[in-house]
Amino acid sequence: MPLHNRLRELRARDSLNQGELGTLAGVSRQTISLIERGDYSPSVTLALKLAAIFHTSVEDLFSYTEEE
Amino acid sequence: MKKITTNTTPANTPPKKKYTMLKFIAIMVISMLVGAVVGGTMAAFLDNTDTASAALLSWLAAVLPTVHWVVFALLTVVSFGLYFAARTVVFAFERSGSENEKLSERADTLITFSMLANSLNMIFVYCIFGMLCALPMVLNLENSINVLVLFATIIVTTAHNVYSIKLYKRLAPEKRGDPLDFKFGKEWIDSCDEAEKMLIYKASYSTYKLMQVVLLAVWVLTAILGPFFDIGIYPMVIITIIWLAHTVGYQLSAIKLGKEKLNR
Repeated sequence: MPLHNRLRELRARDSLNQGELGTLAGVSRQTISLIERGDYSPSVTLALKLAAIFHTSVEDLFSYTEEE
Repeated sequence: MKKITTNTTPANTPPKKKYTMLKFIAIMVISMLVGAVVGGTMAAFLDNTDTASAALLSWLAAVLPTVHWVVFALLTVVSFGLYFAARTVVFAFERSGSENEKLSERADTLITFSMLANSLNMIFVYCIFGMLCALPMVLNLENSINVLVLFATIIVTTAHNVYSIKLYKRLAPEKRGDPLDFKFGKEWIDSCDEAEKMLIYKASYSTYKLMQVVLLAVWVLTAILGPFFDIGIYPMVIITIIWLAHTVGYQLSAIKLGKEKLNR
């Protein structure tokens, strides 16, 4: 999975559960879970929303590595 | 003009498959040979079909009234059994502070299978009732129980849908829509987020491709069995209507969506 994220780490930092983060971002708890597991790559809009919630940049929240 | 280069590697492209045309022609030739053998065999047995089909219809008339309510009872037990199992898991998930991901996934799976069993209940009961109506020897007072089974199925499957949707909304409170409302489908999908819509899209497209194969298979089956059961042209007309709705509906939707904002 080439798209990595720090969602779980930042969620723990801000004491947010998946449901609360989902509500803030306008998506379901299941979607947050899928993103954290790397099973779903969010759209640009959602990535920007998530970054804004954690007061960070998209590049700090998500990182992309080439598959070998 | 300076050529723009990037350091990223190009997306992996699958190697071009060789001999696809030859494989396609081989499959067509084999299909024609199989068709010729089946057709020849059918022609050989056609004179004896009246007895065979009468025996089959008599057997169906004897067993279907019982099969009807047995299928209803079994699938009702299965669908509600799964529903109550899902309910237990949802309550456990809520007690965990809505944090336990494994419980949430398990509840989701149980609700899905419960609704599948419920849908199968409705489909099989409706279809068997339809068959009973088409069997002239079954049209008497004895099939009044089968009418009751049909009404019971409508009530039971509707109730199951309502309870299942309410249970699912405990896992996903952002979902909107009342299953008894005719606008439920639109309200539900409007409340789905991008990942859920992606799942619906993939499942729908997979079903679309499956239906293309199923419709062709049903057409072949109807063409083969038609002479045996003297079914007239009505089944072929129905298959054609469904095939047209399936194919044309998809194509027209694709054209319409191509002119709209896709990710609104």
